[in-house]
Amino acid sequence: MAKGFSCFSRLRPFLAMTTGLALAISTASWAAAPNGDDALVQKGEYLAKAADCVACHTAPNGKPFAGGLAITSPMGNIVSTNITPDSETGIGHYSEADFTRALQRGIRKDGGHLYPAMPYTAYAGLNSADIHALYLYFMKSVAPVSQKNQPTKLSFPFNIRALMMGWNLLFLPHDAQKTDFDHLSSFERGRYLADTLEHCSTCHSPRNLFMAEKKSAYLGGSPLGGWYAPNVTSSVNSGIGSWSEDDLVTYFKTGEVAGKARAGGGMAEAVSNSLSHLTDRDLHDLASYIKQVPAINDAQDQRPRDQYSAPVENTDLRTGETIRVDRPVVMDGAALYDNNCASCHGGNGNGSPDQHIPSLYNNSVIGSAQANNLVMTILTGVQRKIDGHEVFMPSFGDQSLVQRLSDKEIASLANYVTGRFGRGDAHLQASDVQTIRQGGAKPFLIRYISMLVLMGGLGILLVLSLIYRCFKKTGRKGAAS
Amino acid sequence: MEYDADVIVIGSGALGNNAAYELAKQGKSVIILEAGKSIPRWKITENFRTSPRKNNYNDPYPNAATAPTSFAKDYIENTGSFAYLPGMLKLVGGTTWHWAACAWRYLPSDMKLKSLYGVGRDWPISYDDLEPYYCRAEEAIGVSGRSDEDQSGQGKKNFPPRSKDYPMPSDGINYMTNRMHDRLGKLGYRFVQEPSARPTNQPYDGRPACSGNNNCMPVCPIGSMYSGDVHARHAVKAGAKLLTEATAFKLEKGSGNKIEAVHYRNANGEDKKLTARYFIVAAHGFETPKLLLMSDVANSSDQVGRNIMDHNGLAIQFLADEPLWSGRGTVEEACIVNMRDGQHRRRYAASKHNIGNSVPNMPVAQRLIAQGIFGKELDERIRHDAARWVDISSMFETLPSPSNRVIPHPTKKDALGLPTLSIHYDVPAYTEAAKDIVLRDYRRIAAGMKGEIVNETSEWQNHDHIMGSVIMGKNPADSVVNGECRSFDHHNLFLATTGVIPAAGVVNPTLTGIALSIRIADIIAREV
Repeated sequence: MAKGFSCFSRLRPFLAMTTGLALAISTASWAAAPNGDDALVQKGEYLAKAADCVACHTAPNGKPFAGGLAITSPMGNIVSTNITPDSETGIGHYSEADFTRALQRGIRKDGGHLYPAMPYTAYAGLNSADIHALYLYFMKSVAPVSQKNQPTKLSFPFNIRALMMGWNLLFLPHDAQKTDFDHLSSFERGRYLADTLEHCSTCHSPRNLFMAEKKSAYLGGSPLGGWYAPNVTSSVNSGIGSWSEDDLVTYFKTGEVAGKARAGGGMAEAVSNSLSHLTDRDLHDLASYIKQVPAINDAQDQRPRDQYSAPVENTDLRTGETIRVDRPVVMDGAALYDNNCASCHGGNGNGSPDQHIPSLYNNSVIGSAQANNLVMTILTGVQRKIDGHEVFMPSFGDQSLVQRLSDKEIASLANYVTGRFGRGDAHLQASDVQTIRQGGAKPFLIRYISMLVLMGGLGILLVLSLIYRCFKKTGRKGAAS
Repeated sequence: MEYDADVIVIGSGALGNNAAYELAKQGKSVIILEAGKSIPRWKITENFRTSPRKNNYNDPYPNAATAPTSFAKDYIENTGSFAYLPGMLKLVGGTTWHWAACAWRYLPSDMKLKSLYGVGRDWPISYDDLEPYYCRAEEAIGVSGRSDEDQSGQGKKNFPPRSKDYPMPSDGINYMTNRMHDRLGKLGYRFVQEPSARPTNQPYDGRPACSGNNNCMPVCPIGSMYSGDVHARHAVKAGAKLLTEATAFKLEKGSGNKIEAVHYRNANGEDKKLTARYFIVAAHGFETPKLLLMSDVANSSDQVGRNIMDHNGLAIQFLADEPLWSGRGTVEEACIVNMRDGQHRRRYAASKHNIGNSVPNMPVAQRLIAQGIFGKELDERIRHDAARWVDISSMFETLPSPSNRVIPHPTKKDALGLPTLSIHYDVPAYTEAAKDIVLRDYRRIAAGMKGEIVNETSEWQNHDHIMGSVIMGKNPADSVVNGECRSFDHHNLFLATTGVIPAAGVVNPTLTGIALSIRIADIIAREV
């Protein structure tokens, strides 16, 4: 954040003066704040939850909103910033106009461009009265934390923030909501929640060559830092068309619908931090909006991903010789399943009777065409805490304190699990797991950027426009928000 | 002089690893030596599932010729009247792979046995000295428990005193305990719930909450129960270096009576040497004195290997007159603690009854098959009897006696050419004196449940709680280490083992050992 651009540096004294003035005025007005402001602060708090600001702007075990979380992206880690009202290190010196510009145009107070890991393309739709409430909340109610921002260091050419201007020209919408949150119709409120506040499409819409959301495939599913944010359109077989509105609301509130799906990864965070805090009315509006999103069908999906397999009474999976660690034999998927999964999920995949530990059949992760989420769940485990109720599956990744499995073991285990409880053997190789472990396949543009830069002869304009368009917000936390 | 490390820890069990982690966390360079290998949990689970020897808790674990467990043929020879044969493992994580995770604190009175009751020895440190370290040990390994009970069984409240609550609340009291408490409480029996190093209703430190596999011994298949491998990973992550298949066989003395180096032998029989400023021997209650005796160090008192204790035990199984459904949750759920403390300790040993909570299908079926019952009737009887099965085992206090000792075997060697163990142990008269009182109790308890006694053991049993072998005390003439667990003979040598414990009490000493180990790390960190 410290790096400014020379073209803006002349403006700084002026900006500082105006901000100081604005702050002085607003501080004075807050001192005598009537109750109307309290209501606005409350509204702002609710909207901040709905927009899930805390997920990205809080480091693990860090203070809320003080930033410092490294958000993985194909270009490198983008470190979230301190958005507490601390005037030195946070946004205490932001005027409401500065705040608005950051939210809607992705431009910092010092004029520097944000990367779209900050979902300003979604927040561009925020209503000005709602931004006012958010601003009051952040300035008045969030505790200031003095914590310096860590620099984001991306590789060339992505480290040139000004390039975002070109990308924004092409992909940043301008249509802010005219009506504020409290006065929207049910349908509009559902859409506003989905598209602007919860920014669902940030993760669930696939990206085009320039890593902007493909409008034509809205909510059609997209890979995301090793995970796969699934198709959540109304398609019965490919999306969530078979879900009732109540199913969706239950899922938003608890992260789980028995016999259908469980939230892991970024979605578990979104449920924990954001969705579970929304009112029932808002969740119904959101669910009802999501349910009418036009279907995107994949002909290969023969049935909904939560409708694969059935319980198999099979308590003794294998027979044969005693296997000893001193005389190791090839450990196949069945052996891996027995010894890593069956003790909780059951030899027959039933899960626990109360489904606190879910069944592996009727399980959208395992019935999905993409094995990403199964592999990521094995690698990272599951962690959701909602209303003090904690759901936890240990990680089997390279930092696990319980069990660390190799790429080959995970491939073999995932193939067994998809074969037995899903839509068929996923045929993963160890190298597939390695790719997922490293954050998934790199987008085209990232893979070929150096070549593209070198191929300047093809036309400077073409190259420039590619570079302008080459940013993507993604990654662990990006998934959450 | 250049050292290979600030501190070398010999042994990667729960105690050594906790000390290593605390030191590494404070920026000290640490090397951990482990005789065995590192084996993933799932392979141990596989071994257990496919083994026909389910009662043998060492069976699923590696038993390499170069790192033999206590059950390796001829590894431990007994010359006394009691066959002392604990279930010792050799792999990263040590024997807590198959403990039942009972994480007790000693009572203040346990540590003042001589002054209060005129028998045995006092600890050189008090409960208050250890209390903050008990808290840290409970946090390190994730103990769930109840702090509102009198664990001494004397009808007080909240005892022993604690400055912090357990890191996690205990799980609910199961049906069996409730029913037994309903019926036996009237007869005066005082029940307490066992503190358990196992998350119950929430995850802890990357470990999942217990899902009730009831398989704590020989392996928790989901890694919910604490085992020492957790802190091997923490230590390595904090920067410690872990060498496996590295059996220490000699501590080398240098100038100023300091220990200067450790010699170890790898699985290929090659010898290596490492130097360090400080050494922690955390190589099990028997292997630690063996290493000291082989190295001829730390033994000016002639007490190394002597004074060995266990909680010698008895047991009874009966079939209650009502279904109790043993087996929900951990294998150790509740205890009767009336005799854990009191004036009787002047005359005979304290004792504690553990109400076993294992799924009893295997012993039930074995008994029925031996009676010639087969087919459909066998199935029905297994269901009937398993529901009513009660298995009570008791732990007795023992006293240190120099004649109870462990030594390197004078002639026998293992595959590495290092001596095996020879043990001489006779159950102390103080312990024998409590036997009839406990056997009487058994009959009263069985009668209280209108039980049909199936089996009553009057033969002493092992409880694998090795204490006294490198005894702690105030006096260098009769003790191996001081209250810091520091050798009286070598300023830079510490022993992290339950072998230092001079008064046994009746509870599993592992938590106390971990608390002492964390304390050792703090002391060394200030000096190195």
